Amino acid sequence: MGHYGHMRYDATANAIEATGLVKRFGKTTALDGVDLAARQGRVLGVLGPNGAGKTTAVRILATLLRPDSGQVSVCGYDVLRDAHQVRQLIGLTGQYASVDEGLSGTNNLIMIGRLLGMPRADVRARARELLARFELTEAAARPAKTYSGGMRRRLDLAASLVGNPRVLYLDEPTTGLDPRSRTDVWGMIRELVADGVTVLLTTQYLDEADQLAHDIVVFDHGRVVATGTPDELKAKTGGQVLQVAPADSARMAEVTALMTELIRGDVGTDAENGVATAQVGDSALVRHVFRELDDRGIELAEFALRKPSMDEVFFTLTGRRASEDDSGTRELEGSTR
Amino acid sequence: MTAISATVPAPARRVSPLGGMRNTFTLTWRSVLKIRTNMEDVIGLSLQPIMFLLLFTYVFGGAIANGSTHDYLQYELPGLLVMTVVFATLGTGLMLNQDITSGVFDRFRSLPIARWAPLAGAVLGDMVRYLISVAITIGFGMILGFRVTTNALSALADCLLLLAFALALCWASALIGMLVKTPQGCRPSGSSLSSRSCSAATCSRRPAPCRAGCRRSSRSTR
Repeated sequence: MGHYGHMRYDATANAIEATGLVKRFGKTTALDGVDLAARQGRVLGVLGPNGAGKTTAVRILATLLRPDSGQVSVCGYDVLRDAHQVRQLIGLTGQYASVDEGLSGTNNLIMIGRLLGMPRADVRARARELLARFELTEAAARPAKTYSGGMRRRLDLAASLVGNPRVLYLDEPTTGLDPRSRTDVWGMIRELVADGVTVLLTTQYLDEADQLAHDIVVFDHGRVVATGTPDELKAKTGGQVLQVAPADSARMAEVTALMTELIRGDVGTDAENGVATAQVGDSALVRHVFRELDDRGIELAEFALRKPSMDEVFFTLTGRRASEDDSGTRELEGSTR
Repeated sequence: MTAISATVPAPARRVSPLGGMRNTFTLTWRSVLKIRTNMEDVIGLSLQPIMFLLLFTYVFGGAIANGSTHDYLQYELPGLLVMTVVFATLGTGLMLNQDITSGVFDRFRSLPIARWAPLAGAVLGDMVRYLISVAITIGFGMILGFRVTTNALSALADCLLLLAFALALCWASALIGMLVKTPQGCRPSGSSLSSRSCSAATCSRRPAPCRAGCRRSSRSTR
């Protein structure tokens, strides 16, 4: 097997380790001292709003950009000193599908395989195999410019897998995809992880990070504002979320006012579904709210206590919604729920 | 890293020059494939020399060369070949820029290939495009009546010189393509450079007859 083949590393080691990453573009500081680590064979979710520095970090980890300071190693190789070795271990799927639109799906994959130095016969077989796996066999001979967004993204993903990478960078792999294509991409990522590939995934979609990531780092303004497993992050925001829905939606305002008074915190209302939510740290408060509602004779359709969603976690950590500057993608996100 | 198991070869430290050549040829293959699929480019590539030939031979040629369009065609065609190739080099920068803005270049750069291969592959692939436009210019010129008066060998040598000239010139276009932010930006900066230099060339205005023609026309207005 050639140099593009599988390599075994210490399973307990971190596949990616970055410390003190700083990157400035002119006067803007894109990364301001970022540390992150991805465990071997796990998914590290990098979360943050637009402009938080996620893409800059991925470009540095993929040897495309030199950091102003800081150190990065991928499978023990330094991205600056041993860039060539790092490139033999990684696969990259960019934010905008970076397939060659003028080439057919097959030729795109053959080109990558040939560039990786794979023998001609192997390249053809690998291209066929990947196209079948990503359900592109029928479109294989067509130029990529005739593909739909979802097909293009799948081809892009296939292209980054030609060389059997040990570490895969996925920079917003599902942005702009319809819900079905998103679920497809998620399934493919899970398969890769089952094969032992380490995945670094950047996303604006909190449910995506929640679904896929074993560990999460949250970026904001070029800094890491939180790290941990999804559950740890949810626990960190303190307490749970109380969700109340009156049976009679006309009494919604009354419920909201009551909750605001008793909990003394922000009460979010979802008028469309007739649900009021609030974070509660003290379980005694929950009983108090329930009794008050009962006393006033408000019939309830729902009264539930749950863990906060990643959306609420993000709001607590950064003081704003994850994608408030991106209303289009938020609608898309909502439609998958 | 000590944890690499002994039976698996460690990743190579660098690309060998031979490997770099292989990378370059793969990317040349890619450029040539793209010419085939991109018909608009091929049409644009062939339309320009045809338009030039018709324009200079029948519109300007009559006035400049004292009515004999054939004489003028014999004189202008080699010059037009140069002009055609100069315009064709603009495409080099445009395509490189498209590769950069679309993210294809990032993919190349993240692969373990020679750093110079994407550029060399793009330029080598464009040599094929230049060859096409040279062939079309000579072919159409011959239909209009152009004849090689020396011999086939000198004509071939001339074409090789032309390609060498194009190879030298396309790096300027490549540089523009790398520096400009959008593909649209390549056109103005590149074409202003080439159209200025082309209109100053003597191939389009043969010195002696032109002066005579000018004298004649100025006399008639007196």
